Amino acid sequence: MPTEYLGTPPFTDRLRSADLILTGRLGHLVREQEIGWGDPPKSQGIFDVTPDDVLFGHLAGDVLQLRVLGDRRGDRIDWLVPIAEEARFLFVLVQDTLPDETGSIYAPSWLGVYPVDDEDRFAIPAQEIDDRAPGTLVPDEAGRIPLSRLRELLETFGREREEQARQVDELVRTSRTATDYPTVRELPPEPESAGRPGEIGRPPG
Amino acid sequence: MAQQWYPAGTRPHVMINWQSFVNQGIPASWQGAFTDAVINAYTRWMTMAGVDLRFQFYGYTSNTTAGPGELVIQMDPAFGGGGPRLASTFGGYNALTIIFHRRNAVNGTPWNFVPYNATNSGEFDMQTILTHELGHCHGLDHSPNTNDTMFAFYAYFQKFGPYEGDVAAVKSLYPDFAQNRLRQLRSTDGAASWSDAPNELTPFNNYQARTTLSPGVAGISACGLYLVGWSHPNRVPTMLRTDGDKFLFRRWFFYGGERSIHGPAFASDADGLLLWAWVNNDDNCTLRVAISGNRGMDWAFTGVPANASSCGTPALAWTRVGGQSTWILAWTKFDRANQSTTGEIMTSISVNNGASWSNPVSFGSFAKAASGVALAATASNEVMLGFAWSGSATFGINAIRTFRCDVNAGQLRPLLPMWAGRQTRIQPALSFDQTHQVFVLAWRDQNFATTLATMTAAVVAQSWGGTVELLSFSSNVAPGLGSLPEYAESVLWYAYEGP
Repeated sequence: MPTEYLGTPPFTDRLRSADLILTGRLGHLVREQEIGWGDPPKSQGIFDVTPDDVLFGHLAGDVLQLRVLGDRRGDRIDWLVPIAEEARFLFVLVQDTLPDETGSIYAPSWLGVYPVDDEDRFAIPAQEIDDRAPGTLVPDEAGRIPLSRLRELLETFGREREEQARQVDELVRTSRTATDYPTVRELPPEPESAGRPGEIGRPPG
Repeated sequence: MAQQWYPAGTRPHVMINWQSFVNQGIPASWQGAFTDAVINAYTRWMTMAGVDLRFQFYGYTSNTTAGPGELVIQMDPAFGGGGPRLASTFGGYNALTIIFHRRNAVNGTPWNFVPYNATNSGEFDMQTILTHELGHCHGLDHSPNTNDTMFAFYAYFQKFGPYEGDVAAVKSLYPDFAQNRLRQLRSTDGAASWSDAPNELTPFNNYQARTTLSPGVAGISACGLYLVGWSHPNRVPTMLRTDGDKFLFRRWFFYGGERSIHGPAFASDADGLLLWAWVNNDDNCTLRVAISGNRGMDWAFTGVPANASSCGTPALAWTRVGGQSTWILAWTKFDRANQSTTGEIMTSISVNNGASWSNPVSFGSFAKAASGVALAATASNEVMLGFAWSGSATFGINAIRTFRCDVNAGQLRPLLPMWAGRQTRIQPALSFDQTHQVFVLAWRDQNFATTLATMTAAVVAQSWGGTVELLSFSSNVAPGLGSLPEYAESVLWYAYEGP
């Protein structure tokens, strides 16, 4: 029995929950790998991205890598986001580095790769713009939005986050001194010979 | 087809394959938070459905399939390319596996999971997903009702279920849990120590003398009686009057035609006028308030604050403000249409014995709970409010938060946070012991036996102290507290976990 999620979160909620938002240029395909599921079978590609402006989040280093999913059709792969080497895009990303990988690997949040034109405007399908940012993200007739408007919105979100963090700190300031998560104590007691009863992080098995 | 996957009367062992989550890029530091999400989710089913199938966390495993009597929870990369699946439950009789899927198989996006308290629709709350999947482990199929926890598609409010339809469905599969008789502890030294207090109710071998929801207690001023109330999931709110040993007027008081999904709240003014609040078992979880002018013999509906809906047990207290009789009602806001404010602690004031209430005011956008709330007050506007905190997505879940407050300008005003330094999966209980001039705090602790504990704070104190660990008294339900100066005592009612 599955739990599914239908639809797509509103664009502003995707912005709020993104780990990294930036503009940059797509580089070459570093590697491609069939991942063994889907019809047509899915492949994943790792692309280099050269950032030029980080709008939200922290990026360590000058280059990041982008994991993109694609449909393999014979010798061809149809990537699920627009792929054009050296083209400039707005990337709305979530962290996607697996334990056996190195570097900073991100994935587009809900296919969040949007072309940016020479006038610093990004293109986004009109139906993806929700009403939670009235007057802020208003596409022009060609469906393009100035990056400056997005930057304003992200700054607003940043101020909201700072205020939220301040409120949380105020609320929990005397109890948040410990940085470790409190021990979950609902484990069954173990025989003494097994050591450390009740501590979380007991070795599996 | 709905069916029992685990035998009735068993306690399936919940095992978490945490390494499988880490292998898919979930931060290793979330292990404790995720474990709390798991236990919170089955605790919600345990209390609100109240059937005789009770899951229990038993540790971590590297297994990917469940053995007999086990439930294994793990993560895989994605569900076979089959759709936008967040999680699935697989397996066979007496051995199920819940699998979180790391990626949306449609577009490859890693699901933006958080352990609990997702605050916007771009985040996916693992406790919500667990609550739904644990419904499958209770034998339930998907529900066609979009309001139900068991509706097939993710919605943030599924965490605050199970709801009416879910509870009815699971009750058709499993019998009621019957090892939860109401018991009483008594303290005559200002909660410095407690002793078992035999009474007529506990040995009364009737399903009505049990509950999986939180009991409510209040001393009725100036008559030497307590109100003790409780409810069964999907059943009537019930109330009895007792002097602590014997139950007077030996008839159960059922509030006719009503169904309550959380425990009740009671309060008495100085003359014994009573208010009773509970959460109606409709899909909107609307509050009800009733009043009794004859010390609980008869009740009538009275006013309710505007749009008051709660995802946990509400709280009532009475005090005087500048000589004015003043009632305080607090609850945990529930609004299916508003993810960001659901869970906020709301308060409202009445100065006409509940006939009307002030516009509800949020206690603050980060004063959030996923269960109920507790209140206690002196007769001179010293108020204590408490709840199990649920304000962050990754830390601090269930921390007991209390605030010293007063009523000022028609609102409950927080004056001083007083942290208990403890955690509980349901709301704590509060009362004021007039004889010993202390606030008493009680809660169901987060340990394997889910034992009870209490603390006290003098009226002028700035912190809690005097912890009493009641290690012989287990309960999966939040306790209720009351106090009567006539007997110079406090009483603690709880649903005992055992025969």
